[in-house]
Formats: sequence, C-alpha cells, structure tokens
Amino acid sequence: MTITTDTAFIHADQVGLSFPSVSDVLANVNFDIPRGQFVSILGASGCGKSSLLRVMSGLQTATAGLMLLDGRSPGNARENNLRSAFVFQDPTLLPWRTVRSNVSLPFELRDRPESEYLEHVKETINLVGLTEADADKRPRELSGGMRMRASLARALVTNPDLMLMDEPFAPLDDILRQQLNEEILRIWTDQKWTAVFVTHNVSEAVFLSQRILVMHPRPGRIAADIEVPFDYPRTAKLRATAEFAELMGTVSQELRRTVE
Amino acid sequence: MRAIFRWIVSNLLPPLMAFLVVVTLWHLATVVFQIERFVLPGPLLVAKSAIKYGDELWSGFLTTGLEAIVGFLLSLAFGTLIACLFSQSPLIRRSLFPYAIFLQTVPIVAIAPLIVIWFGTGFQSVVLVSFIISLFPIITNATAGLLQVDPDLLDLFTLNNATRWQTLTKLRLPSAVPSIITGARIASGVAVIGAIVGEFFAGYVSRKGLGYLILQTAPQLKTDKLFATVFASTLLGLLIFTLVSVVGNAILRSWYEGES
Repeated sequence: MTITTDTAFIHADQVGLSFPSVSDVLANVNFDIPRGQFVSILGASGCGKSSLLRVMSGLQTATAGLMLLDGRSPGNARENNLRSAFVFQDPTLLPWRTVRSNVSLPFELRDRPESEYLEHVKETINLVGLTEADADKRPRELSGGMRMRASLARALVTNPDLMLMDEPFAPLDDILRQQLNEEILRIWTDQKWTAVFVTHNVSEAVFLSQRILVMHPRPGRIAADIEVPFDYPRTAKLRATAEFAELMGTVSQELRRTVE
Repeated sequence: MRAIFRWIVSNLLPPLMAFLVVVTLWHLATVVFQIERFVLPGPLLVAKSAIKYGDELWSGFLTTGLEAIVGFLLSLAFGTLIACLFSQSPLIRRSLFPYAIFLQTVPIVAIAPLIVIWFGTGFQSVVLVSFIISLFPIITNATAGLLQVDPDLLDLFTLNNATRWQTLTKLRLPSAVPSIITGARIASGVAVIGAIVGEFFAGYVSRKGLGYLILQTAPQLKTDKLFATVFASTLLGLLIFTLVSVVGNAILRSWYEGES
C-alpha cells in the first residue's frame, strides 16, 4: 500500500479494533487531521471514543486498517521521539510527589539532568495557573480543578507536537470546566500543537475546536465531520452568541441521531 | 499537650481498664477456688516472680528481641525483593508462588530441628527460623501492592517510554508502600513467635532467650516464673508491633500528605 498522506499529521484508514468474544469496538474509522488542528471527538458514553484515542496514542494497536502519526505507526512514533502527551480523565498524579515533582516526571523518565528542566517546569506550572506555593504541595492538598491543572502542566511541559485529551474536564463543575476550556485555548493559540480532545459535552466541543468528529456507537465509527468556523482567540462571550447556539443545535442533532 | 492527653485517654485507658478487670478476676479466682500455685499462680505471685528473676528475664528479653528484630528486618528486605521479582511477570509468579506458600504451610516446629542440624545452635539459627516464619506476610502483601497500580499511571509510564526498572522504582514500589507496611505489621508479631520457637530448639545449648526460659521452667513446675516469661514474651511482641506501626504510620503520613 502506498502512503499518500503527506499533509495529514494523523491519518486513519479503515481503522478497526476488536477483541475476541466482544462486539467490535471500532470499525472503518477514516479521517485525516492536519498538523496544528484542534479536533474534538464527540460521542455518547461507550461509543469507542476513548478507544480511538488509545489507538492514536499507541497504547492499543488497531486490529484492522492503518493508523499513522506523522507517517509512522503510533508506537513507533512514540519510541522515536514524536512528542505526544496524554491527558487522562483523572489527573493521575503520583500522590507521594509534589506538583513540581509530578510535572518533572516526563524529564526524569528520559534521564535528563535537573538543571536542564527545572526552570521550564516552573514556567509551565505558572502557565496553567498554579502558584509557586502550589508547586510544593502534594495532590491530596489540592482541589480537583488544581489537580487537573497540574495534570495539564505535566502534559504541556514536554512541548508536545500532539496533545491527546480523554475527557479531562468531565468530573469538574460547569464553571470550572468553562474556565479551563478558555485557558487550554489560550495555551493552544500560543503553542499550536495538534489537539485531539475527547468529550461527550457538545458546548465544550463547539467552543474548543476547529472541527468536530461525531462518533456512532457499536461499532464505533465516524458519523459526522463538522467544521466549526469561529475565529480564534475565542472568549467566554462566544458562548452567548446566536451562531454558537445554532451550531450547538446542529451538533446536538447529529449526536442525537447516533443514539436513536 | 491536650492532644496527647486525649490520645492517652481514648487509646490507652480502655485496654488498661480491661487488663485491670481481668487481673482482678484472676486474683479473686485463685483466692476463692483455692487453686494450687503450680496450676494457676495468682497475679501477685507472678509479679513477685518477675521481680525475683528480673535479670534473667531482662537478658532473655534482649536476646529474643534482637533475634526477632534481625529476623524481621531480613524478611522485610528479602520479602520486598522477592515481591519485586514476582511483580515482573505472571510466569515468574505462577512458577514460584507455590513455593512461597510453602513458607506459610510448613510446620515450623518440624523444620526448626533441621535448621539446628544445618546451621548450629547459635544466634543465626534462631534468626533464620524467625526470618522464615515472617517472610510470607511480607511477600504476599508487597506483591499485591506492586501489582495493584492504577492502570492509568501504568499507561502514563508507557507513554513516556519508561523502562521496566523506572516503572518498578518510580511507580510500583512507591505505590506498594502502604501494602508493604501492612505486611510488616503482621510480620513483626510473627517474627517474635519465630524467635521463641527457634530458641526451643537452639536454646538448649546456648541457654539464652525467652524461649529457652519457657522450655526450662515448664518441667520444673515453676508456673509463676513460666507466667512471668510468657508475659515478657507478649510484651516483647507488643513492643515490636507498636514500634513497626508507629514508624509505618509516620512514613505513610510523610509519604502522602507533605511535610506539614
């Protein structure tokens, strides 16, 4: 097979994922994501969106079709220094480490000397809105929102080319979720990594992304590919506009259709 | 100050009261039923005997205490090492775990004489018996702790291309600290029993330790001295258990909640 995907940073061609004695998790998933795009994957619970993200990260290997990151298999890309970062639904911090030490972890695992990264770690902790005092606290001493900020910092600290986010703000209350949406956009506008953001929240998907892939469950596949035309920088005001409400309606309808 | 006082009232007073009640009943029973002193000496006789043989008991206390602590520390170190090995592959676990269970099921009184034949009647044989009997709780608890790691955290380490060694030292071992401490608490009490049983077999030559005192006193029908020795053994077990618990709790607190 010839690879004709020079422009696509992430290329999914007939991707399928199945396990013995379970109905297919993913089937015939096709899409191309260019470098630097912010894409949301929207779907009902259990539609396979997290599995799709795991295939993109290389944590799981597609059992059918082809998934390519920068022209290579995700596992190969990761082992050969494609900088991808993964943000989990839970903050997944090491409870015995301080925030600073948690954010330093990716460098520690690459055996880098402390002098090389400590300053950058400090900047990144500030970037996500945590203070110097927070940096020396253990996760248990932080609120849920602050823990998620620390988790974001750990992902951002590696200057990733690709950010894979698995419903990172789902457990947070609505106001906090909106604030973190605005902050993640501010950072993305500045750093322009490619973002794949999994969510089941329509408003979040419309607010964040340039493009929404709506997923259909059992087996998981792409049901709709919707462009979001709003300009960046996007602010909280966008949520109050008629265009935003109209697009939310369209996306919601697509989502409804997948579960009916 | 007030906090310490309250701790004493709520934690020390109830068991102390229970002790006093039992001792009083015991005393009354020996008086009312006129029980022979070689069958059941009263608490006052036991106390008198403890004072009379104070030097002998104290030196036995120290000997057995040292043997038990060395046996315990050895099983803590080796148990954790063996558990680290077990955590590395299911095949290793399946092949070797039955032999770990052997440690638990073997009647220690049956192999203690063997140990004396092989290693002599000295300190080392008693330590070895204490070690063998206290090893199992460390192995099982540490292995469980090393395996019960948050799967998201394992994914995080995989995504950062962590080596097996890094995953063990930076993730599995720190995660297992609470389980290892639980195992250590169980093992600490068992180690004292192991030392006393060891002395039953090794002690008749070295003539040292609480186990030897029990062995020597029982046939002489010096039941009051026997009781005093049993109390000294119990006290030793309690002391080592408390020590391990206090150190364990201190470690857990600094591990998860920060220095404050």
